[in-house]
Amino acid sequence: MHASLDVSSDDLSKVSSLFKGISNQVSAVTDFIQSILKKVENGESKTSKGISFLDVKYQLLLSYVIDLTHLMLMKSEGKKLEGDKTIERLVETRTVLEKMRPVDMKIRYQVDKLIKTATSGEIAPNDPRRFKPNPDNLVSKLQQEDSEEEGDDEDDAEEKGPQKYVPPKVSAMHFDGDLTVQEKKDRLIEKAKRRALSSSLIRELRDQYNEEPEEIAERGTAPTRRFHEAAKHQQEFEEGNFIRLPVTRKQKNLKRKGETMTGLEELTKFDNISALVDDSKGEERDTPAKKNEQQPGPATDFSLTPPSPCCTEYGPKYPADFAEVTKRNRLREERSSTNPERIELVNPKGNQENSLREESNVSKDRSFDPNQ
Amino acid sequence: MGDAAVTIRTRKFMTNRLLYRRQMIVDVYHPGKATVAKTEIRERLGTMYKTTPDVIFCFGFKTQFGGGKTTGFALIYDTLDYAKKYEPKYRLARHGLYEVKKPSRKQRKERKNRQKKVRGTAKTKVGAGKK
Repeated sequence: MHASLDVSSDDLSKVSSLFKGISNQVSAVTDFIQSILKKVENGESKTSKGISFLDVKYQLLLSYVIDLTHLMLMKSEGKKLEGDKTIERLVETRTVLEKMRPVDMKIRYQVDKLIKTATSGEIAPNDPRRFKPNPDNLVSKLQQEDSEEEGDDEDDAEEKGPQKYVPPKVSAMHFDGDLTVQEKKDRLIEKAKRRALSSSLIRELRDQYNEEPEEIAERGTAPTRRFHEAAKHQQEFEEGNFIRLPVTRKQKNLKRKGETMTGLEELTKFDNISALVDDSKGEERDTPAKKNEQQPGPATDFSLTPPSPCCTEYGPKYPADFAEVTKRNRLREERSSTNPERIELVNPKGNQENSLREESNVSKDRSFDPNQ
Repeated sequence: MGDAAVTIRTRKFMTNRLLYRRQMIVDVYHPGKATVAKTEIRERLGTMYKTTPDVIFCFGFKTQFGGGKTTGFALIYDTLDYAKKYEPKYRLARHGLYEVKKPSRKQRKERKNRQKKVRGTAKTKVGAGKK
C-alpha cells in the first residue's frame, strides 16, 4: 500500500542531490575513520590515558546519531514514529549532552593545552606541572634586585626562630571619639552645673530657704576635704596591704596644707555660677567661661546696683536664683531715662500731645519726661 | 620601761599559715611622750603573745598629727628559721641577723666608671675584672 504523495519535480531533484551529497560525505568520513583506526592499530597514536569526559561525550554523540538514523529508516519505510522507544532514548541523550556543555567549556583550556603539547611535543603530554599557575609571572622584573637582597635578611630572621611579640609603644589615651562635638559641650555644661550647685553661694541660699533645722558643722575647704579623703584612702590601703607607701614631695606639701587652716581664700573668692543661668546667649560661646573672666555685660555695668547687698562679685552673669532681682533690674533698665529706646517712646517724633499723654499714662511709672 | 601611760592595742590580727607567722596592726597610745621605740614594742608584744621578742618584727610606725598615737605593723614568726627565710633582708639587718656585704665606696665608684665605658650586657663582665 502506497500513500499518495504530492511530490513536485523540484523536491525530487533536491532529494536526489541531497542523497548524492550524503553518500559522498559518508565515503569521506569512512576513509578518514579507517585511517585513524589503522594508526591506532599500528600503535602510532596511543588511546590510553585520555580525557574520560571526552570519551563519554563521543559515545553519547554516537548513540544519538544511531538513534536518528534508526528514525530516518523507519520514516523512509513509511512506519509511524509514535510511541517509539527510540524517541525516548534520543531525548535522554540530548539532555545529557546539553548538561555536559558547561563542563566542556570549563575544561576547554586544559584540552587545548593538551593538544598543543601533543602536537608540539615539547614536554611529555602528561606532565602535571604544566597546568599549574606560574607565580613568578606576577613579580615585576624591575624589582628583582631588591627582592634578592631582602631575601637574605628574611632567611636570617626566620632561622632565629619565632620572634618575641613586642607591643607597640603607644601610650594609653582616653578615647572619646564616639562623642560628637555637641555631646562634649553638653558634658562640659553638665559638669559646670554640678560644680555651680555645690558652690558656697548656692549652699548659703539653700540654707536660707531650707525648712530643715539648721546644722552647724565644721566645713573644710575643698582642698582640705580632698586631702582628708585621700589620706583616709591611703590609710586603708596601707593597713590592708601591710605596707607603707613612700611619700612624695607633693604629698608632703599637701599634708602641710591640709593640716593648717587655709580658709582665707573662701572669704574673698566666689564661684562661677554662670552654668545655672538659663539664657540663650550661652550657645554663642564656644568654650565655657573661665572662672575669673570678667566679660562686658550687666554685671560690669556700674550704672546698675547689685541685687544682693553682701556680694559684690558673682561671676560674669546673673545667677539664676536671683531671677526676681534680675527681672526688677531689667525693668528698671528699660524704664530708665538714659535708655535711648525708651526716650523715643516717650517723645515720639510726631510730637502729638495726645499720644504723649497716652504714652505717659500707659507707662504708670515715675519716668522722667524731659519735655515738662 | 613599762609605763602605764603607754598602751598597746592590736587590730586586724591574722594568722598567715603560708608564711608561718601572725600579722597584725599595732596601735600605740603614748600621750605626752615621744614615739615609743620599736624594741619596747617588741617586748610588750612578746609578753602579750607569749613569745620571745626575737621572732617579732615590727615596722612602719607612723605617729599621727598632734602626737599621742602611733600606728604600725608587727609580724610574729613561728620560729627564727622561718623568720630568716621569709623576712626581707633589711628587716633582718635591723635585728642584726644579716649583714649586707658591699665593697668599699671607692671600689664601687671605680666599678661604675669602668662600666660606663661598655655598652649592654658586657657591663656585668666588666665588674668582675677588678684590678
